[in-house]
Amino acid sequence: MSEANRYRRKKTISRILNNSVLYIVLITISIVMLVPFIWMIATSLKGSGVMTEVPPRLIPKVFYWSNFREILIENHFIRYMRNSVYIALMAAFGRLFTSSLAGFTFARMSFPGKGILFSIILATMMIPMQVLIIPEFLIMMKTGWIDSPLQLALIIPFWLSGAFGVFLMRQFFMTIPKDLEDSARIDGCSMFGIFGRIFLPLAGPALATLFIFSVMTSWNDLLRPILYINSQRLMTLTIGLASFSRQYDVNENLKMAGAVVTLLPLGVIYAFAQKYFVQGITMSGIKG
Amino acid sequence: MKYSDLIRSKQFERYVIPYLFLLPILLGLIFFRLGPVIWSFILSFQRYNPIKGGTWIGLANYKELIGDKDFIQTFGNTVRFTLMYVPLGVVASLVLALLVNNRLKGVVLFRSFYFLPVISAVAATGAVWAWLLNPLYGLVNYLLDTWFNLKGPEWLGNPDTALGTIVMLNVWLTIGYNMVIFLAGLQGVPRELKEAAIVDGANKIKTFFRVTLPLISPTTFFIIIITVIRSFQIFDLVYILTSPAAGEGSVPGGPAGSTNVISISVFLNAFKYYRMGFAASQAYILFILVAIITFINFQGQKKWVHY
Repeated sequence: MSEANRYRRKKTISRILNNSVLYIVLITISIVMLVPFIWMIATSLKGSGVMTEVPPRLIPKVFYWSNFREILIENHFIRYMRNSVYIALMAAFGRLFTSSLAGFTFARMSFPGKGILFSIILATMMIPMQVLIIPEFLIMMKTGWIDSPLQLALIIPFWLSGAFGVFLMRQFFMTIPKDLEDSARIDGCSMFGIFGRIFLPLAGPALATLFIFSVMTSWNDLLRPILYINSQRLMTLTIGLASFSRQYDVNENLKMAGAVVTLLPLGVIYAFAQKYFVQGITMSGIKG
Repeated sequence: MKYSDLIRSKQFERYVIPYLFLLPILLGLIFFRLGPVIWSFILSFQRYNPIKGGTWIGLANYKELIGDKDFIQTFGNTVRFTLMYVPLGVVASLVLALLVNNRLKGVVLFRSFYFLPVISAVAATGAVWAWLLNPLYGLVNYLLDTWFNLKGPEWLGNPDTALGTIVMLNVWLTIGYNMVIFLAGLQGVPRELKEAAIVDGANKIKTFFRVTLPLISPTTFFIIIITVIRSFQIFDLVYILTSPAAGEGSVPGGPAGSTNVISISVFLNAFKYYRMGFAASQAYILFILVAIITFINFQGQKKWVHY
């Protein structure tokens, strides 16, 4: 065997060795990251009697699918889910419209005060929630939107204040060549027409990112539902699960079934549209 | 002038249309951002109850805070949480990013596993962790006992360990987020530079500290800034993990106030005890604290961040 070959072989062996060590490390971390989800599913399928059995079993002897019937129907989680879907979609569609319109304006128009206004909007993202939430609550009290059947207190703020969405859409619209806009203008298109017919249809990926991000924010929100929902029939999944878990006579298997129901819809979307989740979340950080 | 001429005129396009398009966002800016910032500030000088209204009491809220035992504990908890969580969260996510920064088969799958907690509702993941860490029946203490013959701590049930437990769970929750941002930074490091260092006789560790780390310092700086800001404002996780069963009449932030951070205290004072002025003054202390620390960070960056 030539010197070069031997060297190459040594290199390959050390690479395989390195890779296996790396795989072992990555799998170990995966277990730590995933155990809560796996244990949640396992517990959600156990009967009340065997939940605390020793030794604990990962795969239950008998699958109690009835836990899910109990949580969805008897404990109203199906209604909570409907409320969560309603709020998330209403908030997201409105936000797509207002944010993309504002993003378009900042990207493609010139008007007095543009720079300072954009800076102010970006700066508001640094204000801690705690400072804003007390006046927001008082506004919601005055408008009577707390506990309203239309859930306005959980939707309207999303429509009107989307600094991240404005930023995201602006960045996207700035990349579109000016020729497109000019030719539409010559054809007699109004500004709103240019926005709606030329820019918006091109913005698919950016809109998808914003949509996913917005749905996720609404879906996982906890503080606002705590403050703005009192009636059980209006509860979202997060507050429904939190208040269900606080009853002292509730068994863990039902709590875990509730947690599965809360996580599953977004989890399924994540499995198919992971890219948009990662983009939205990382862009929302880069905003600052 | 005809209507159609008007809406296409230069003046109209410069002075009217942009503001029309921005109207929803401007309304939001006024009613949900700038207005509340000012209103909160005014509230912090008032005794304010949502039903009875407010009375001007000057600096009394702030004076009360300085001598308030509960607030001193709350403040200490917030600072201790940040001091534990920020270094741990940043270093752990950097290590994780280094581990998945390669073209290994299946590495994309690992990344998506690590990111999963970031998209999950804390209401659900918090409930699972409470179950896993149950001192008597939880899986974690069972495994500690059978594998290592250790008696597991009470985790969230003991004032000495509760805050530390929340720190660890928060690392679990957020590690994927920082990992993704670090990964973007690492992928911007040119291969040639690392190879050049190796050729010059540097080993891998030296290459990391002398080449990679300085090159990603803007990313690291950014992550430190947002991690600090977020850790000062942590709410959801504490609320879910420390809200006792209903009927006991007690509140989140326990046991014995050991996990009562500023955001929980603001929540309780504003929405449980209806002392909104007092709560607003705490929120402003938090605001000022975050602003000062962010400012210090920006000052300090000149020493170690290379653009």
